[in-house]
Amino acid sequence: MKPVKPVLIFILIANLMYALEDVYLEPEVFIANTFTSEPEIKTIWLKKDIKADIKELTGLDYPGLRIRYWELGNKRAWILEAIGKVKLITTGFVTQDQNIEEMRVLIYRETHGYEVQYPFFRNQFKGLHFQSNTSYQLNKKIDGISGATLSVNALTKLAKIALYLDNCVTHSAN
Amino acid sequence: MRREFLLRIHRWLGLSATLFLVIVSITGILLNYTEALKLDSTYVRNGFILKLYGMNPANQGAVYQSPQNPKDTIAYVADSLFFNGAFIGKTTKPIAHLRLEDFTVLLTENEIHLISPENQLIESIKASALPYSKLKSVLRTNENQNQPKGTTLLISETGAFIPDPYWITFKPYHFDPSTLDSTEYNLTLSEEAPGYIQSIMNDFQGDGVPLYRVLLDLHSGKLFSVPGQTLMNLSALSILVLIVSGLMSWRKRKRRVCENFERCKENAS
Repeated sequence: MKPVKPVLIFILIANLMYALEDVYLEPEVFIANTFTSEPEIKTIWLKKDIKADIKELTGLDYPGLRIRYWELGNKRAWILEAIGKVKLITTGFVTQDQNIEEMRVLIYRETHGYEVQYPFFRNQFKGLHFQSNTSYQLNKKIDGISGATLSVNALTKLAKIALYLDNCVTHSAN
Repeated sequence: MRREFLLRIHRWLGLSATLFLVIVSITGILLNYTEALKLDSTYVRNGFILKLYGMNPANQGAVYQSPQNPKDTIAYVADSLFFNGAFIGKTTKPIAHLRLEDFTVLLTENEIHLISPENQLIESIKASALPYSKLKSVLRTNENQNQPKGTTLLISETGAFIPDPYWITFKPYHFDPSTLDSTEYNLTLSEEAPGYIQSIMNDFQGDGVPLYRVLLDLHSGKLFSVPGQTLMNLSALSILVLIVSGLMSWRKRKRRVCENFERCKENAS
């Protein structure tokens, strides 16, 4: 029964690799870390025109008709989801004065492309904003990661959605 | 390195990688004849395979009826929730259903799904936005001194909560169950389950998974996610080790034969 040992070692190594969890930051911890005091929970309705704009901007049919966000002063936190390759990536964005202040990958379910959680990638989103309120072009290009192209694309699209929704909320408040 | 040790490594690695190498060889040959064998137009509907692709077989599921409106049908097949045939999302077991004035609420153990009158998903409120971890039941007050009639109470393992009219926030509520006059809105199991679930799954899953996809994922090990891929990678690496250990032990054996031959020659002379 000697050959059983290496087979078990094979399987053990494989399962240890699989055991790497993909919850990088619990959504409630992300919200708690973002604000110094209790934020107000608000929602924005995805009316037909907003849905159409999101579709044009990103090519995504964002699910649902309502998105909740957390607000304190002019700082807002958004938790948005998009499919990378086959599974959803849950992402947190902090926006202030129509700029992205922070992007965090909260839950990553794909087997490839987990590099998007690392600071070298996340930091590219700091200070990201639209060039103007009408063109919805980002002020800088997000560099890709080899082997994580679809995840990078999904996160760039979500960043656009966060900025667009932040824009909508700011304008409706004014 | 001693020859016995090399042979032991060679034998163990060879035996442990055999199964995986056989799989790689057979699937590789089959994939080379995809068109001739019509692998891309043959579909697999085996329950085990479907489950590996997140498409759960129809034999595991339940259909519930809403006590408020018996025409509303809620199906829960493995991890997927369907409302009147429409896919709502991957979630936990449904507990209750409420048809309110402006929208419908589907409550699962740790999520809440708000659905428009046109059966469109308004919002899925995730566990992280809820004040409880497991919902037990949903009540609506009939007559109560503290709350107006029709107040919704979410009863969880950690206490009761009242949602605001828009279901954005949830306030804790302390009450005495013995004095509460309320109606329960928990779902009841329906008897027409098997046929209904089968029809939902046929609509949802289509023909199944192409055999080509299954063989390709079996070949790369992706069929069993990261463990499968790692096993295939280790098997591929084992081929390299087998080549090196085979060559080394062969060289040692050759040297020993030569030495024995030289010794025999000396003894004879």
